[in-house]
Amino acid sequence: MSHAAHTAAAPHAATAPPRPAALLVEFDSPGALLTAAEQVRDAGFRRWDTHSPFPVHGIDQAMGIRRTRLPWIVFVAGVVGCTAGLALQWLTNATSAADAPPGLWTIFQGYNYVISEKPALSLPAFIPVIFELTILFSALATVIGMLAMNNLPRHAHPLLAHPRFRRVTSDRFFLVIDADDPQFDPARTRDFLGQLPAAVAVETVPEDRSPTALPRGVVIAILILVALALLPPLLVARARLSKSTEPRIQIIQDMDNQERFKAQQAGPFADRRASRPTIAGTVARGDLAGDAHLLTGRVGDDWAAAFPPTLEIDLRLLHRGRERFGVYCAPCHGYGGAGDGIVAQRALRLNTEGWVQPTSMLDATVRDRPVGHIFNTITNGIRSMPPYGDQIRPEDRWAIVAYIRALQRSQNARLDDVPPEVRADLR
Amino acid sequence: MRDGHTPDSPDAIPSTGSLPLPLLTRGPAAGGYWRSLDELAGTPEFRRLIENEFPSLLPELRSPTSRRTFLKVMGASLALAGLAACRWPRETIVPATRQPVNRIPGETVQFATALELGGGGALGLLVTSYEGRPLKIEGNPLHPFSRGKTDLLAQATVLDLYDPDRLALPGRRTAGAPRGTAETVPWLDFDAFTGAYFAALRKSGGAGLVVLSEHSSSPTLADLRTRFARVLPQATWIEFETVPRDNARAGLAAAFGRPTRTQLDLTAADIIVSLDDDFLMQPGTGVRRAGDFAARRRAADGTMNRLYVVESNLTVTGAAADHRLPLRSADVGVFAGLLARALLERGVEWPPAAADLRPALDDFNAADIDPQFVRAVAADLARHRGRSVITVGLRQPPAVHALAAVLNEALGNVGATVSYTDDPVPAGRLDDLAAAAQGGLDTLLILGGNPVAHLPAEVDLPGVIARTKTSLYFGTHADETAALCGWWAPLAHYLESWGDVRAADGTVSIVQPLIEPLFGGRTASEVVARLTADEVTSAYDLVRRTFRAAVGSDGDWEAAWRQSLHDGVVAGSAWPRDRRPVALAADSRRADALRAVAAQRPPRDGAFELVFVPDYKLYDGRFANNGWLQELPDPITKLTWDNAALVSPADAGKLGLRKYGDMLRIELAGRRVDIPAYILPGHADGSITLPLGYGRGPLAGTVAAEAGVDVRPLRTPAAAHIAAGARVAATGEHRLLATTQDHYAIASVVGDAETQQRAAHLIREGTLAEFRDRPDFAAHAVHLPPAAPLWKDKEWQGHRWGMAIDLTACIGCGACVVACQAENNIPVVGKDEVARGREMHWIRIDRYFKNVRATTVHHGPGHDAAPAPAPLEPVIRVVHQPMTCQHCETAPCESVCPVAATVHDEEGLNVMVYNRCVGTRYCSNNCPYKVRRFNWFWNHHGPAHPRSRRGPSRPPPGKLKQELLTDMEKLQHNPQVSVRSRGVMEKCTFCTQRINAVKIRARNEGRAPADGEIVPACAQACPTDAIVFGDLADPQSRVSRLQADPRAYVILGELNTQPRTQYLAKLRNPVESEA
Amino acid sequence: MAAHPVEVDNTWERPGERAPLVTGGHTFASLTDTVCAVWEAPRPPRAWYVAFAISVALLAVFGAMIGYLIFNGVGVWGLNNPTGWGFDITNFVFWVGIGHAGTLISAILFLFRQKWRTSINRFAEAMTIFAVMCAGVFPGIHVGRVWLAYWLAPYPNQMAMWPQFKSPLLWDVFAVSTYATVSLLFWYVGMIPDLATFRDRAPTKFKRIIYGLLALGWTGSSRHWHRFERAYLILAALATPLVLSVHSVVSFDFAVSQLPGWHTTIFPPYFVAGAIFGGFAMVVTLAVPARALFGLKNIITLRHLENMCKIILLTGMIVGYAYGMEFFIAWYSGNPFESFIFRSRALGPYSWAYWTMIACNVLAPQLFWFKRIRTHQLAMFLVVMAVNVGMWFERFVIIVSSLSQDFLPSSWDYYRPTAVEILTLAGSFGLFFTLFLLFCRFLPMVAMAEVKTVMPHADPHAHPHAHVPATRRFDYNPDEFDQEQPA
Repeated sequence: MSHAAHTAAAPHAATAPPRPAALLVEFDSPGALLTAAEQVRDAGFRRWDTHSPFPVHGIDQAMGIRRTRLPWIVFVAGVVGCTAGLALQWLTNATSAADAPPGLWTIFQGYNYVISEKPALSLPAFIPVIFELTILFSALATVIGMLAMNNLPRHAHPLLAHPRFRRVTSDRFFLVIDADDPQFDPARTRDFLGQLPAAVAVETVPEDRSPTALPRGVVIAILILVALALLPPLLVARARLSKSTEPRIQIIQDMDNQERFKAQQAGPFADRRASRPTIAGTVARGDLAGDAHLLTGRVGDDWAAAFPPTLEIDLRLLHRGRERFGVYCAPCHGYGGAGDGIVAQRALRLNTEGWVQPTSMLDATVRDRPVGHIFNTITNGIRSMPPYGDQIRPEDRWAIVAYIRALQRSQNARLDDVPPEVRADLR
Repeated sequence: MRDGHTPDSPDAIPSTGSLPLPLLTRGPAAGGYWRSLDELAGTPEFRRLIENEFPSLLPELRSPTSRRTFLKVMGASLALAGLAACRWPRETIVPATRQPVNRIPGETVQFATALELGGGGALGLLVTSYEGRPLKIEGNPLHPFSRGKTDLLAQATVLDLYDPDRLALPGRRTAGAPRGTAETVPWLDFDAFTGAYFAALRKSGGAGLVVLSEHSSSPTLADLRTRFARVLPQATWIEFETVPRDNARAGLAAAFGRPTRTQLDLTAADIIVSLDDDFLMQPGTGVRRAGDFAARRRAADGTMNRLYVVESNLTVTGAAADHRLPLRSADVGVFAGLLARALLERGVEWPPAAADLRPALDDFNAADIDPQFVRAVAADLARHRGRSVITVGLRQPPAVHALAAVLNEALGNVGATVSYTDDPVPAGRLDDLAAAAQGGLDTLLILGGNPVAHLPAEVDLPGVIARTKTSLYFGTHADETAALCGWWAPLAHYLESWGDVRAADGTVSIVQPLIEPLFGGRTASEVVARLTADEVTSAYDLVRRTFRAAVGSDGDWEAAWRQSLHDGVVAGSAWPRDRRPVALAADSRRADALRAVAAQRPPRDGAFELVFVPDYKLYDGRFANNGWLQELPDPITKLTWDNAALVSPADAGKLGLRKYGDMLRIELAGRRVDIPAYILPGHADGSITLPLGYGRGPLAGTVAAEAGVDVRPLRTPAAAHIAAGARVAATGEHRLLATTQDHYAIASVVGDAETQQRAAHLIREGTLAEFRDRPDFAAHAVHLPPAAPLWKDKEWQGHRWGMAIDLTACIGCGACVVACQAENNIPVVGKDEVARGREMHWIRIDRYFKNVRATTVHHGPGHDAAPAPAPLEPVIRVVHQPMTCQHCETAPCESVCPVAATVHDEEGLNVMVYNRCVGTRYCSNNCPYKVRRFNWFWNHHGPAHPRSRRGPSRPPPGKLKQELLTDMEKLQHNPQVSVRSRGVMEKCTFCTQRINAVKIRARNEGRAPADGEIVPACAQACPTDAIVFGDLADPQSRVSRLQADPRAYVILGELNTQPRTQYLAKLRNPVESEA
Repeated sequence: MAAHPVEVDNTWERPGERAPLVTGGHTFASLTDTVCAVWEAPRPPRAWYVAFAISVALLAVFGAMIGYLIFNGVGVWGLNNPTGWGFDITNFVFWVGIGHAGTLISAILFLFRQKWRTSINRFAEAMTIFAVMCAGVFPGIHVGRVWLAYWLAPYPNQMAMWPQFKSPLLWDVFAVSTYATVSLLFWYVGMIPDLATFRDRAPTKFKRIIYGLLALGWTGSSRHWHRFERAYLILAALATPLVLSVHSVVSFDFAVSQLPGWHTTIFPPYFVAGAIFGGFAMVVTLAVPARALFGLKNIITLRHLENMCKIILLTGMIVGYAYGMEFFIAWYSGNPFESFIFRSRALGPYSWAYWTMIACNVLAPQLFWFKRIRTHQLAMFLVVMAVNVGMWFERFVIIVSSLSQDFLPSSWDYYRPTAVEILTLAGSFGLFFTLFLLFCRFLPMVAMAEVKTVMPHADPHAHPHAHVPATRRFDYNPDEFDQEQPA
């Protein structure tokens, strides 16, 4: 009680007589409070209040308190919660980020999966969450609204410093008239209050002079909490802004690193590879070297002059050849096959030492080569051109050869080569 | 310890000129980086840290098993300490400087090869290789005998290749040292020893040398044996069979006068009578016969074959039968005699060549064999002359085989459904070994086969080896044989070897290696070539020499060779099928043998007949260390990781067995085995079936260490198949048996009755007559109110993948389960986890016993006072139902997943997004088919891993150490399928990787995937083509047509899940009216 | 104020006369003193220390079991392929059910103007909060990858990956978290005036600051009381459908699935009734020892206990009716799967659990027909303990027996819990009781402000003496009211 004694002694301190903040009347029964409240109300006071350990029945009327507008706040919050619930589910489950216009909204959109063949926008399934969010928003609005309208939390209040007032939370009833009330007059109001029936005591509530600064312990605790709370965002920011050669941290690896050897991975063998060489002499399915023409481009000991009979030379093959040519050949040889691909151009620009300019496929030397020879060049490479036998299937290599033949023909074509029906377009 | 520097570590293998690079590097010294916590724990720095920080934990590090536990605990603190382990792993790419032509990294290629098992005939295989590593075994469609199909054993052999327990180095035992102390020997030293030793043998002409090898059909080995006989004239070569075909051979020899093999053409047979013959599951021939058998059961043309089975054990074949008579195996011969008599009564003409057998038939009496059954079979056979088959099991005595040959002749089947060809006979006889070893042997050379483990205990091979001065063993494991021999060396796996084998019809296949020997093994042919100082030493050249001799060196034999390698078949190498039975005039022994069958029936005096059968999964035990097979549920009993004595419910009642797993003590001639019992409905009374291959103990490997009971002590060479007069009693003890179905703890009277009722709806069955009458009987089996969705069904664009499973064709063999496991990186979880109901198979085969009258698995005892069944109605019917994700259109799993980890893709597949799964298991709860599987632990190396649980504390000599385990498993894993972590749900994907591979290929080629081009692993493996996959959007696809079949139905259709998988009702063809 | 007030029988029923809700002749001040005495005592009773030690030990077990689980995987539990949920979800539903009584007493009884709620609502609400905390643990730890459980929350990420809102599990996330939030708000808002009492009576500066911060500067202003009451009413009105919805949503986990035994439309009301039933049983379980231990017998009177026993009797019969109706519907629907699962519940492998449930939930509460049992504390305690056990088994029976025997007999399997699961269940009680004991020690156990409103002298209009009963069989002395003088 030392603290209470100290504040109780304050009004008698000689240094600075405190201004009264309010006048306080104590009662010992709710009935007395009610009667007093009616009288104060009728006396025309505006800024006054009653305080009780529990809500006193009828005090609202006695004091003339109007109904609170809290229910309207709650209603609005409920509508917002309901809408939020619907919007959340509709956006994330029934719209697709792929179709969304760019912007912030894309992160609120998901993939509209096929789930049990149900329609993506399935209202019955959304009801529970809509309901829960409605309740949640409403409840939060109720509590926050009530506290805000009551101007709570308010930890420094003159009444709280008054020793008599402590019993308001136990068994005493108080009527308080604020000094700011227009009718307030320290002496007259005090007299008026003293005449209230069953008033146990009338006291002046001094202005609250307790220190406004937060206790140091609380300040330190808050600072520590703030510092700790800042730590994660700072670490995230650091990670985002700095560069590291270390792989990223991944404490639980689950399936990121699976127990299997993918293509070309290092393995437990002496050569540090997981891949093993094919055994000499074995023949894989489909690898029968019987069709040497298709696989090597040779007929007997000579380069094949014609395409393998198993391949059908048609538009589909040429399209395939053009596509593969674009992927594998064009970077060096250029889309037209003239040896002017972007790699070649860059090598020329940089004047790279030892660079061998890609052959133009339009040259007569290449044009006169048998197709088998060109096929072989693709398969095994030549000069600085690497072999592509391990990357392009034989059929695709033939398709490329066919396309090269078409390129060569196109660059050295005469009007007679063009079908009559499209000749007109050339003009 | 695992620091990788001890001399016996494989690091120390000297690189000899003849050896390819085996599996070598590991440890920080070699790699410079840690691949795992386990490896880190092997480093001296780490150990020093532990010694300083936690001295009390040091002993923990010494045992590999408890170290795992320790590391798990340490894992968290290590992670917190910020070791490299908590960062995203760095991956190293090691590309080839020059890729081989036509090999695209990450794309698979296939090689044809072949697998032979115990001389019964080879299967043509097509092995998928990923970057030079064989990953998946499939059948070779170009093989004329096996026609692209395989059995469960062939599917699983790829796991044996990567078995970390395989023998890695030669070794020897110091003379006089106690068993188990041994040292490894570098190949160089081993070769030096054998070189000198073999030279000395050659000098002495091979005196005192016995070569023991498993019977093989290999032409190259046959050729080498003749060379061997030339170079070492005084030596003996004995071939043994672990599951002998002696009886069949002797019986047919009695009928034909020379070694003969029966070839069946089941597609031509209307009536099949199997006398104790499990022909659907015979390694080597079962695949073909199952396919032929099933081809005639789909009633496409309104006809079906009819199968009668008379057998003791309930086999897969018996389960497929239309009529089945359970009889003791010893009574089956009597049945054959009665059948012969009944046929004679029906006017079947007895072949004159077999006139001597005729009087013997009068000795047969029908005391306790149902005469109606005999009459019915006889009548049916007589009606279908020339279109029937009588086939006899290997365990039946020779006289029954001879009698069957006579009956097939009499019925006019020969040339139509039955034909006869050559049969390679094993060299030497095991009796010769005993004779030769009488006074002790100088040299015993054992070429594979682990005979100590697989031959009957009576052969006393350990005694022979003990009396041998120098014993050499080439084997795949440091197994029972290696543990006794003086020297041993690794034998190459068939996927690492060149060789040649014959299929059951004589077709020769060249065995191509898929990978260099991982552990530097040799092939048997190479060893023999060294022994005989052949001018050709490599297996490749040996096989080519044989091939060249066979096709003749003229012409382009090199092209023929390459063609044979490519096709996996040597064209035109099958035996001619032109042999006819001949009479052996007045061989009185033939008739006497038949009389003996009738006379020597064991009495029914309370003693039991024991029938030793090769296990469906482990065969003779050689696959004991194969986790896939150990965990595969037995097709009939659904047992995993154990064998059990199979007894009939009535016998179980007499013996006082209450539930499966109750222990029996079996005594036979003073030998005794304690084994858990499994009460099998439909098993013959008075007979007990004992599967071989289990109980090999730690020498069999870490996986096999605790699996099952060894029944060999009861088996003698004279009674290798059937032994009579065993005394059996329950011991009152119990052993946990892990089954994947029929868990007795869940059994109840209401549950069993309900199971019976539901089975009728789940697996709809009809007879051929019903089917003819009303083809859509399956649709009317259950009448349900129409199930209408509450919303509009989605309209699918593009492909709609679906599946059709023909229950008529399914024989329940389990090949699909192993194929799926190999394809999809499905973990093995071990016995304890299976016992908890946590097996991981994506496809399972539900087996129901139907029409079980008052006898069930759980309540057999005490309920066996059932009314006698109608004569031809089986006591029990067995149905199989392959069950895998049904890919429901309105999948119940999807709507309950809170994180959208399981959704439909645009082609209607129910896809499982492993990375998104948090593991609520709600989807599995809501799946009516219970096909989802949850990773309760980290199954690929966690505490549930069988190897981490059952590893012996001290590995046998020469065995690999634990740290290679992960790498070996990684090598086998299919890189095209995710390896799931713990806490993740998984399930059948319809092999989505295969669908996409075909789609990509087709798109590259600018076309649509063709029907039948996409084949999931299960459908590929199915020997009877019961599983068909395809595009339902294409009305002409096979699957669409099957789903339009009147037999098609969906299971649990009342739930309106609209599965993409439909079942075709099972048809049976019971005899319509008694003649 | 006697430390051990005598037991007063205020359970009589007489037409035209109300039995007092607070006995012992309490005034406002003495009531405040009595409630605050628990907190003001320099040290709590020895029984509190014993109970606290046991609870903290169990809590440690709880933590250890969860750590073990997360380290090794869900496989340390006995779950198997058909039975994907066992103790985990059973415990979840059990605790959520316990968590219903508090808000129900606060909200529904408030709306129904049941004044007797005021003595018990505070600690019933506290019990709710703690039970919901226990419940919240289980869905979190039962998932296979605990570290990814946050994926169930709808938060924007760069992958645009969102939860799947058609899943009842997600409804659970929203329902349970909303329920926890609203219950906490309700509890806290109702506690503000009492926290102010603590603030005003705080013996040390530290306590004054702490309770002062918690009391938010409450002065008991009538204008504040006006909004406070309105807010409390709104919260009650919001919490009432919420409390009904939460267990309905929890029941949707089962009802929305298609498992026989789960797929039942009766579940929402049945679960809510069961939750009230189990929740009240837990309130009585806590109230009987707590009122004796902390000298609250005149505030939480026999009448309160009796009223709760009556509710338990009623809800017990509703639950019993549901049990019976399930069987009827299973038979009447003609659905073979449904009828099998109920036959199997009664006669199958889990019949032991089923009959335990029936005995505890249907038969045991029938004893409350007898007033002597309703008003006898030990008998009452034994019955509600049976109900606690029975309600746990109810969830176990629903979850496990349905899962273990679903559509395809081939996949049926028996679920057997491991020691880890049993210890986790025990440990969850450690968490619950640890929190509850701390609450008893440091927060106002009884809503003092609310109890004061139902005391006779709270009525400002009536003459205080009018409330004095004709007989003085209760040691209620109206004179004390007048004689009481300000200190």
